[in-house]
Amino acid sequence: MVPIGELFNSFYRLVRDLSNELEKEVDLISFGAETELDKNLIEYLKDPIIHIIRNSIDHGIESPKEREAKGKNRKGSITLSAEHSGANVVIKIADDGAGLNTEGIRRKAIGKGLISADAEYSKEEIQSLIFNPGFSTTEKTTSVSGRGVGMDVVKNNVEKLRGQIEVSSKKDSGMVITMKLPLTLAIIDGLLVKINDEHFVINLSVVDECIELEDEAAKSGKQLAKVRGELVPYIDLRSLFEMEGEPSEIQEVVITKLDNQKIGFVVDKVVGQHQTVIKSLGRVFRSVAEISGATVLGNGTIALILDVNKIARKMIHEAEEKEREVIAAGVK
Amino acid sequence: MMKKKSVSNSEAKRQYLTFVLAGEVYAFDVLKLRDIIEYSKITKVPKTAPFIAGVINLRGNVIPVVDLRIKFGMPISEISIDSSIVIVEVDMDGENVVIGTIVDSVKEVIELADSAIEAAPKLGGGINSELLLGMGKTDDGFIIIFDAEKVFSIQELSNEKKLNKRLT
Repeated sequence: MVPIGELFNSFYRLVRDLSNELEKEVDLISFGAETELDKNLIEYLKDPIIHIIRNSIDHGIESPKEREAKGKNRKGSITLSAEHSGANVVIKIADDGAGLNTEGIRRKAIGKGLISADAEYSKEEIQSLIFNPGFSTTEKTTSVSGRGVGMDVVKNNVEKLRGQIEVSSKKDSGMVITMKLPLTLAIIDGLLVKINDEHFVINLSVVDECIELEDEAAKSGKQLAKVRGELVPYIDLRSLFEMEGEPSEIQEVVITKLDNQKIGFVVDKVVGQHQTVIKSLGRVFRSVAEISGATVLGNGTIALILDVNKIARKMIHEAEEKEREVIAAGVK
Repeated sequence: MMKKKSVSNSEAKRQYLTFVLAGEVYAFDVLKLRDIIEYSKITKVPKTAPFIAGVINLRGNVIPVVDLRIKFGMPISEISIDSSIVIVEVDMDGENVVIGTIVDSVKEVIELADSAIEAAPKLGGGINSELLLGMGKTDDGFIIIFDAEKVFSIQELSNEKKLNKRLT
C-alpha cells in the first residue's frame, strides 16, 4: 500500500504545461494525498486520470476571457481528491469549467443511433453516454483531445480494476468524475457457487440476481431462462467444464450483467457471498481463459474464480462461428 | 574409511529422491525437491489436459499438480495411504514455479555417483529420453531419473494438451 499523493504530484506539471499550451489559466488542487492504496492500482490509474485531466483542460475549462464573461474567476481549477470508503477508495476529479453539454450529447447520440430520438432519458443517463466508444463531444480535433479514443478506454481501464466510474455535471459549473475502486487488487467480493463438490467464485459486481432454473427451461434444451418475462440466455457450467455427476434436483442460475447483456450461469447451488482473496494460478494455467484465479476457502480447499466475462464472450464467439458455418454450408 | 574418502574425492555424488509410479522406481534430483506431502483432495481445473490433476493448497499457496502416470500412459492405481504429492521447484521461462506430482509412494533418498548413471536408452521405455537425466544403477536394479526442469517445462505441459485435443 502506498499513498496516492505521489501520483497526484505528477499531475501538477501536466496541468501547467497543458494550460500554457492551450492558453488557459488552471490551478490543480489536491486533497487526500495520504490515502493509501495498492501500488499496482496506482500504476493503472495514471493513464485514465491523465486522460480526464486533459479533457477537463481542453474541453471543460473555458478561456480566461470566456470565464470572465460568465462572471467566473478567470482562473479555472481542477480538484483531485481521494478518500477511503469501506473497502473502496473513491477518487474524484472535478473541474469548474463549462460542464457537459447535455443537449449536444443527446443530439450526437441520436445521430450515432445510440439512443432513440423520442425516448425520455434522465440527465445522468445522457451524461453517461460519454463512456461509449468513439464518443467525443467536441466538433474539433486537437492534439490534446477530441480524437474519439477516450472515455470508453478510461471506463474500460477502471472496470478492469473492478471499479466503477460515474460522471455528473452541471452546465457552466463544471463536471465531476467519480471513480470507485477496490483498495486492493487482491480481494474481491465474490459469490460462492457449487457444482458437484467443487466450489467456484463469481465476481459479485457482475451478478444481478440468482434464480432457480425451471424444469421446462432445462428440458427444452434452448438454454433460455425466463426472468420475470424476460428471456435470458444461460450457459451450463457443468457441461462447459465437462464435469461428471448428476445435476442437483433444483439447479440455480446466476444472472450476470455483462456489457448490458444478461447472461445466466447454471450451477448446482449458490452458497453465498464470499470475501475472496485472489491467488494467481501461475504459469501453468495461463492458457485457461475461463479461470482467472483461485482462492483458499475456510476449510483449506480451493475454489476457482470464474472469468464470466471471458466465458460469455467465448461462447458468443463460438455461437457466431457456428452460425457462419451453417450459413456457409447452406450457400453450398 | 580411507577408501571411502578417496572415492568421494574422485567421484561426484548426488542425492536423489526415489518414488514409485505404477510399480516402477523413479527419481528426482533432491536439489529440485521442495516438499513431500500426503495426498489430499485436488481441485480439478476445467479445460486442461487430463494429466493436469488440478491445484492444491500448499500452506496458503495455490500450486498445480500433475499426474505423470497419465502423462506417460502408465496404469493408475487407487489412492492409498502411501499416495503422496512430491513437490518440486523448477524454472519455467524464467519464472520460478512450484509444482507437484502425484506418486504412488515415496521410497527414500539415495546417493548415487555420477558414474552410476547411464544415459537413458533412446528407444523403449515409453518416456521420451530427453526428459530423463539417465538411468541410475543401484543394488536393487535400475531407477529412472527424471529431469524435473524438462518434465515440468511449459512445452511439455502444453504440447500434451494439443496432442490430446487432436486425439479427441
